[in-house]
This record gives sequence, C-alpha cells and structure tokens, in this order.
Amino acid sequence: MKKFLHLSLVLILCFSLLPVSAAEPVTIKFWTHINEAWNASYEELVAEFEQANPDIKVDYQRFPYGEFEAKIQTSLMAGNAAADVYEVWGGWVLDFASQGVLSETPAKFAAELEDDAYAPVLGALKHEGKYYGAPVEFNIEYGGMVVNKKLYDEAGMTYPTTWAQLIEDAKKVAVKDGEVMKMRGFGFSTPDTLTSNFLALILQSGGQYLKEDGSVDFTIPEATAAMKQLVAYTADDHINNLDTLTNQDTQDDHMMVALDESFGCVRGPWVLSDLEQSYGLTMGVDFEYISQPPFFEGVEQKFAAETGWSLCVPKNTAAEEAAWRFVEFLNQPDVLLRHNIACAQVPPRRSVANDPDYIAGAPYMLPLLDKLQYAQFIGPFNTDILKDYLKQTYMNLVIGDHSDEAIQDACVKLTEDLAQAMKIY
Amino acid sequence: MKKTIFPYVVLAPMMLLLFVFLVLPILGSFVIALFKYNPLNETGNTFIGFENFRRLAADELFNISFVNTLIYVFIMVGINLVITLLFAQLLTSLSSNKWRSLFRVLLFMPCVAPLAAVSVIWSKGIFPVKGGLLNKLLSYVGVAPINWLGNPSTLMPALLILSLWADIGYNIILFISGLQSIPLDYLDAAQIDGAGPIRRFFSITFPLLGRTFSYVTAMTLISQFQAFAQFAIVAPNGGIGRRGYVLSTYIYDMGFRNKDMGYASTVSLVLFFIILIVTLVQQRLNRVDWGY
Amino acid sequence: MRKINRKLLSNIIIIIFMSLFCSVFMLPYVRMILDSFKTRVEVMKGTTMFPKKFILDNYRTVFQKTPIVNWFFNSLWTSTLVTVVTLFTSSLAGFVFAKYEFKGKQLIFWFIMATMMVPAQTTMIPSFLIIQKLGLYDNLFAIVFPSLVGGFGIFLCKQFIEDIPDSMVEAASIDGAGNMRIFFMVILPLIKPTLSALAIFTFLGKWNDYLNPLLYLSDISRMTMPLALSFFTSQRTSDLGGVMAAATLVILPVTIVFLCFQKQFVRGISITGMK
Repeated sequence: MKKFLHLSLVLILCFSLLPVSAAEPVTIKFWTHINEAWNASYEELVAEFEQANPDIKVDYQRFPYGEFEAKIQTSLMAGNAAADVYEVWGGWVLDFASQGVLSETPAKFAAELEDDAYAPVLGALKHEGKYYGAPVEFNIEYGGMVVNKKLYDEAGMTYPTTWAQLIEDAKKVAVKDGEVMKMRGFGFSTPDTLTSNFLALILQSGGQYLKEDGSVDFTIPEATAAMKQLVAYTADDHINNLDTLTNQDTQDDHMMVALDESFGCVRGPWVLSDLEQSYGLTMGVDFEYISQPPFFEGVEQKFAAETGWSLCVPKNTAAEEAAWRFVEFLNQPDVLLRHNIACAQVPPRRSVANDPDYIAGAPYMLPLLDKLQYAQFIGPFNTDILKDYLKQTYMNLVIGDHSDEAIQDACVKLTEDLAQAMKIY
Repeated sequence: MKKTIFPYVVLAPMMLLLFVFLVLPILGSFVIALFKYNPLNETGNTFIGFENFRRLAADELFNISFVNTLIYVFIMVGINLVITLLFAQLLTSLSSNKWRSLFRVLLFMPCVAPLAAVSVIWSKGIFPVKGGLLNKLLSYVGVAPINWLGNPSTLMPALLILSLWADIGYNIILFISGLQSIPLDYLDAAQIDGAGPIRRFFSITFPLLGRTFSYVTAMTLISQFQAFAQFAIVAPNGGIGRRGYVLSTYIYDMGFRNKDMGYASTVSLVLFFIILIVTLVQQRLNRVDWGY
Repeated sequence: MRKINRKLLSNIIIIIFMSLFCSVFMLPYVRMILDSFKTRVEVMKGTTMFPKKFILDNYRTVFQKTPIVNWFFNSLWTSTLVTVVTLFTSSLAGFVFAKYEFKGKQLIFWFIMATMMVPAQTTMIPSFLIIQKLGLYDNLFAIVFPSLVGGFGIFLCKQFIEDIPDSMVEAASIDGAGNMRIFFMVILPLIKPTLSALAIFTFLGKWNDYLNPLLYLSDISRMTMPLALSFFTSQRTSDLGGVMAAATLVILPVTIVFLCFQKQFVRGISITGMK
C-alpha cells in the first residue's frame, strides 16, 4: 500500500511538472481579394508565420475583387462567421472605421508605423486620432510612365525629360481621324490618373486643394488653371481622347500602349506585370518604365496619393491577439520587403523603400522611389466619389464648351457637388 | 368557382415563404429609408424621417437617372414588343417545325449567357470606335464610325441595342407559346373567308393573344425598370454626360459606393412606385375578359 | 395550286430573312465562344474574330484556378430543386387565381406582383440580416428558400390557365373530381408548353445568379458556377480569355436543358373543343 501511494505521488508530481499540453491552436481566417502574384506571396508568408507561431493556424481564403467590398460588409454583419484579418482597400477602411467595427492598431505598432510609414498610406486608416489597420503597399498612380520603346525607336525619339518636351512630342506624334484616335501622344485619362495628375498639377502650381476641415476646394485659381491645361491637351491638342474614360473598364491607357496605339502613359507600376501577362510584351524590349517629369522645372514634385490595400482586424473577433500578431508579422520590414517585391508593390514604409535590397529586387521602381517623400494624403473621404465627379466634369468640358468661363463654372459646380456628395471623415 | 377554402390552403404556405424572404426585406428596406442607415452599426442609426425624400427633388443625379430610366424603359419595351411579336408570328407561320426550332434556339441563345459576360463582349468588341463590330458592319453600308460610348447622344441607343439583343429571345418564346395555343380552326376559317395574313393577324390572332400580350408587356416592363448589369458595365457611373445613368445603377452607387443605404432605399421606393403604377395602368388597359 | 405556292414562297422568304438576321444576331455570342479558345493576349488585343490557333489554355486555367466542378454541382442541384418546386407552386397558385373566386384575391395577387418590383440592390442587406437571423447563413438552403415561390411563374400560369374553358373544369368537378385532382388531371396536361417555358426561365434565372450565393455562403467552394466569371477580373486587370472560357462553361448546361425542353414546345392541344 505504501509503495503504491509513493508511486502515485511521484507520478502525480511528474505529471504536474510536465508542460501543460499545448492548447488547441487558434485558427484565424484571413480574407484577401484575388490577385495571383499577391496571393502566392501571401501563401508563402502564411506558411512562414505558421511555422514561427505553432499555436496559430491561418485559414486563407480569397475572393473576386468585384464583390469583395460587399462581401466584407455582409460578413462583418454575420457576427462570428466573419474573418479575423481582412485585406481592405484604403478608401473602405474609412467607412468601416467610422462605423466602429474595426479593432484599433496596438499602440506600439501604431507608433512604429507613424514613424516609419509614408503619410498617404496611413491617411485612410486614421479615424479620430486612432489607427485601425496596417498598410501593405503605397498606392501610387503618378510619377511613372510606361513608354512604347518600339514606337520611340522607330520615330527616332528619345524619352522626354521635361514636361514641356513630353507635351511637344505628344502633339507631334498624335494622329486623330474624325472620331478615331489612331495614335495617342500621351495618356493620362483613366479615373485614377486623371485625378492624380489634376491634383499633382494643382499642388505643383503652389496651390492646396485640401482644406483644413478635410473637404476639397477646386475654385482656387490653381485648380481652374490645372483643369484648363488638362482639358486643352485632349480637346485642343488632341494628344489623346476620352476612350479610356468612356470605355474605362475595357480600354485602359496602358492597353493602348500595348497595342502600339500610344507612345506612352502615366500609370502605376502594376501595369508592368499586366503588360507581360495580358499582352505578352517584354520590359526593355517593347516597353519601359520611366520617370514622369514634374509639371514645372525645378519644383518639388508634389502629388496626392490615396491609401491602398491594408490589413484590418474586426472588433468582434475572438482571436484578436492572434490576428494582430499575424498583421504585425507581415509588416516587419524584412518580411514586407520580400512581399512588396513579389507583389510588385511600392513599400509603405521608408525603411523598406530605402533598403538597397528592395531596389535590387525591384529595379523598375526606381523612377518612383525618390518621389515618395513629396506625397500628401489625398483626403479623408471616399475617393471613388471624387474620381467619378471629376471624370464627369472633365468629359463634359472636353466635348463641350471649355472657355475660361465654362471651366470656372465647372470647377465651382464640382466643388459644390462634392461638398454635398462626399462625406468628410 | 365554388366557395371553398382550397385557395387559402394552397396560398397560405406560399404567402408565408414570400413574406419571410421577400416581403420582410422589402419592408425593411423601406423602413431604412427613414433613417440615416448604417448596416454595421445597429445602435447608431438616427431617425431622420422624410429628409431623404426631400433630398430627392433637388438631387440632380436622381432626376437624371429618373428621366433616363423612363426613356430607356418605354423605348425598349415598345421596340421589344413589336419585334418579338413579329418574329414570333413569322416563326409560327412557318410550316417546318425544324426551321422554327432552329431559329427559336438561335434567338434564345443570347438570353442564356450571363449578362455580365455579354456586356463585357459588347463593351470591348462591339462598341469601340476602331475595331468594334458595330462600326465594322456599318462601314459595309457606308456609315462613318460612330463613337457609341463616347458620345452623349449615342450612349443610350447603344445600351438599347445591347439590351434588346440580350432580351428578345424570352418574349419570342412566350409569344410563340401564346400563338400556338390559338386554335387553327379560327385562322383557317378566316382564310377561307378571304382574309389576308395581315388582316388575319390583327382581327383574329392579336385579340386572341390578349392574355399572353398582357403578361409579356407587364413582365418586360417590370424587369426592364430594374435592368442593371449592362448599365453597370457599359456605362459605369452613368457614362458620358451621365446619359446611361438609370435608377438601378444610381441606387447601387448610393448604397454601395457612398454607403448611404438609407437614401438608396428611398430611391428604391420611388422606383417601386413607378413600376407599380405603370403595371397597374398597363393591366387596366390590357384587361382581357373574354375566353373562347 | 396557287395557294400552295404562296405558302411555299412565304416560307422561303421567312427562312431567308431569319437566316440573315440570325447570322448577324449570333455574332456577339459566337465571338464570346471563339474568344474562349484564343490566347489571353489575343483576346486582350481584341482584333480577330477567329482564333489564330484553337487552344484550350483558358479552360485549363478555369479548371485550375476555380473549384468549378464543385460549383457545377452546387448550381445543378439548387437550380433543379428550385425549378421543380417553382413549377409546382406557380401552376398551383396560378390555378387558384385563374379558376377560383375568393375574398382578397385581387389584393393577394397584387401583393405577389409587388414582390417583383423592388430592385435587388436594396433588399440585399435586409435579406441578409433575415437569413442570418434564421440561422441560415452559410447554408445552401439560404439560396433555395427565397426562390421557391415567385410572381413571375404565378402570373404566367394564371394567364394561360385562364384560357382554359371554365366548362372543362366544371365538367370534371361534376364528375366528382376534387380540387387537386382537377389540377393534376385537367389543368397540368393543358399547360405543358407554358410549364416548359417556365422551367427554362426559372432554371436559367437561378443558374445565372451568383450574387446571392456569394453573400449568403461563406466558403468559396460552396458558391455557384457564374462566380467563375468574377474570378478573372481583378482590381485593375482582367484575364478576358478566362472570363470567356468561364462564360462558355456556364452557358453549356443551361443550353442543354433548353434543347431538351424544346421538344415540349409543340402546338398545344386545341382547347376549343368540347365535342
């Protein structure tokens, strides 16, 4: 009996000293939109994270972009069927944050981001002084141009280094025959690039369209002058036409470059992989990505950028801590660097953008990198509305009366309409 | 017929289903129209009464899409009914079943394809100025290229052509169905009496087609008022000059882009009443009392 | 002699006209299918009608990148179920509205009609909340229940059943048949072409619906076929070759269903006669 008691005591002691059996791994659901290169990189990082954190499993799902926003919205309403980490487009974060359904970025992490990240990538993540997510990329639709190398070589022309040269060349090569645009000199009219160029022109002219309270004012003289300039390029100089705005989903400026119907256009770096995959072209042979010259010589190349894709954690999730761990992991500079290179994204953090390894991995980003410091956040509102109204105003001016008076009136109306339609956060 | 509870027994479960899954959401969305609604925030909705409705009158985009919708529906339905009835009659009068089946299949094929894919094809391959099919066909008859989507005056016609293409198959089938249930005896008798094909159509066929016609008209009206996919894809945000902005795309923009579900519901309510009134009027005008 | 010639002539004219019309009419549809056999680059460039070379890459992409086979089965069983039940409910309700008088008939009928008049965009979120409150979120029945009864079918059947002479119904009931017997024995056989049309339209409508499954179901493998189209359009780029291949695959089953039901579109039994 005594021996038995001794033995059991020893056994009990041993068991109590054993480490507590590992708790069931927490599973976090991670939802992103579909983008092959991005999804592949996420997969890799998920595997890495799971290895480094055996107590967390990541269930990674992706959805088509078209309905992704609606999907996020309805899933947030479903309570615990929701995901734990969402990849959210910047503009949407503002809406969700203001509705109080997102979890705050942990203070230490937020401070780190404020220090290291560029202003535009954090703009839409900030609501009433607090942050509600972490950026994944710097979304930029200004500063870089895709040029058709073949056309330039054939015409014996060199790439423009000043804006004046760019426009002059464009006017020379553009060919318009009635309604048909046979050759475009320079493309800048997609909803994204029209907006970015318009705002950049205002800023570089010394004006500021963004008011203290976050609303926009296009009645300032710099704005009407910018509008006039951009309208004239299309309506009077005919260096391009409105096809990329009227057929915006099936005709993009870079598509025209790919079809040898355009000498070049301003577009974000994402077009480079699209040109390769959708049109079978080769960088360096068929096209190149060069620096877009500032509108005026010797001026800081200021421009406005909106917040791009970011990672957010919802408030009502049981795995909040694990979710944030995953987000922070992805945002570590060395991890982010690899991710940004694999996804062909511009880094949201200075430490990554200035890292020589980044430039080595994504040399084509060079035209953009030194401009990042001049970017301002576009504004605390839903940019889709701004782009839509601006596009409509622009189109109406191009096909109609674009006298100085008409432009003035149009800018006033644009400002008024936006004041009514756009909610300022 | 006789006074029995049979109708109630039959309809009760159906009404229950309809009520829970269709009526409740509709009522819900109408109630939302009275709030500054936020679907994610169940406690933060402020009651604003009829403010949303007052907004409508001064809302320029609402007025534009309202007018566009009316233009679209009435032209579309008008042309639709004429073409589909004509084709149905032509096909029904064919002696050969084989040919009739063939054409019927061909005409219905566009209806089978998802409207989203169809809209992309049209936007990319049919409407463009340079390589688009429409302009190519027009060039064979000597017409200069038209900028379908880039010209405010041709945007709606382009959408009408696309919509008709994607839709006439349905009505042709329904009309053929209706035409085939008209007894041949009547038509034969009229023919013996010396009536020509056109006279036969208007005096005998068309009147006897009353119920089918009434149904087809009502359903086409109801569905075309809510046409969405082609407008969203071919004329996003209304296209040039907002000429392609219709109430359904406006509602979508308000609800899912501007996140103002309350206002979107308000506009929906307006659309609902328009559809209801137009249909009521149409049914009244088309009242068919006779049997055989 | 002359009458026969005239009939033949009018037949020929009609055939020629319809043939010309259909060949132009079918072009966009044919283009869609041809595009699915082109390389992605060729589709994006959009300059050719016929593929330079017929390739199956796009189809391979569809099968590799999307769980389309799962989706096919999901689509198949939900569409079939909804169609069968809808045929039943529509014809039965149509019968009741066409041949019976009862209090509140007009009101109830217009009530049902009204449910078709509200655009989906606005009912989307309230519908979602209801589905969720009923505990049907992520349940395949969430996309089936709401479609089992529909004004479209009820109205259609009502119209065609009204054309059936009352005398026939009366005769049957005098013979001692109960309500349901009359329904099955007298009414249904006479509206076969109508039911065929309704079957096809209902099946087609349900088959092409991708939005409801997308919102009411959580896991991507439970979605329905048309979602495949969205898979190839990303934020700024599209793989149009993939879109067209997906579209062709989505069209195929419905087309087959249509061709099967085509045979039912025969001239209905003549219903003048009570000999």
